[in-house]
Amino acid sequence: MKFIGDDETVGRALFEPDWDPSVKRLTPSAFTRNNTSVTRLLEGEPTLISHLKKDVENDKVKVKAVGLIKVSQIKKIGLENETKIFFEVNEAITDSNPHHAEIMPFESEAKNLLKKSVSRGVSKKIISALNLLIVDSNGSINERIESGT
Amino acid sequence: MDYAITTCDNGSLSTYGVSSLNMAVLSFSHVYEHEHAPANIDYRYALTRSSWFDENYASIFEIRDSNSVEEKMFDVKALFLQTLLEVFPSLANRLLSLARAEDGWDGYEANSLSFESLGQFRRFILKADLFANDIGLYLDHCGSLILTYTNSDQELVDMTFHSHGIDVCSDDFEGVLSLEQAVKFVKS
Repeated sequence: MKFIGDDETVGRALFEPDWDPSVKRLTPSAFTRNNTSVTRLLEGEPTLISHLKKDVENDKVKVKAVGLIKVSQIKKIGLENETKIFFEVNEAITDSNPHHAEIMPFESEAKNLLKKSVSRGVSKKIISALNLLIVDSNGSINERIESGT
Repeated sequence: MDYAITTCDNGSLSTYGVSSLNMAVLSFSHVYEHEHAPANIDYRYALTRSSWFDENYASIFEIRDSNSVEEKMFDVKALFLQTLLEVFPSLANRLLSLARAEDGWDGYEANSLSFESLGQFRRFILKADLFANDIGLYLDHCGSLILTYTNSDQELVDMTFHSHGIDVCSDDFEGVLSLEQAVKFVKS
């Protein structure tokens, strides 16, 4: 595994049904998996959005927004939890996305045992820390919503 | 295999209401085997063969002729939501969108919207009314409906609707509530 640096920012594609456009809010279970897909913000927001659209879009799925968060913020939320979670963001390059990575929650600081899932409470804290980019069908940014934390 | 849908309350198949389209809408609260139903019901969708359904209930229910189980699932959910469309149009439209999500909608193994969860939500919202102006609706990976809203303390609350109760999670509370308790909770 190759963990990326704390200062990096990663973005998650937000699309229906996980994204409710009427309230511009993400499902509270969006970060409960132990391998949540994200893309690294390495070459600017347009490139990030382009990668995310290529990764997830098809006839039925369209990217409606992007949630941005720094790796250090994810780690901080995990360590502040009553039962500590040791988050890392692992580089996971795919054929179509050289900036792809996964958010991985570990049981201990040794990072040798992956948690099966992340609680919804912790997922909600990550969501509230996201900076949101609302995008149109072409991937242009229509609105920016700063995080609530 | 051809399919139609049957669900029931209290162990017997029953109609729940009649929509403006004059079609019977079935209650999706609980799924039991009807005493006359064939034994090989696929409980994942609470289905029976349409031939049996047609013989017994063809006059009160219409499902379009389609080879796709998913399309039939959506038709029934859409019919069930007709009664909500007039009262809560924005919520019902979002529910229709969620009802279109098929098994595997997350790219993994997520289930489509469950009838039990939809039934529990319907009973809840008809009793609770529009208690917040920022209600968001989602699916979890088991096909249960999740509702989120901001309470008077500006906390984001989420509620997950199961047949056995409603999971509520806020900054101050986490637990399973009955329908009546959940209605009191959102109005407090």
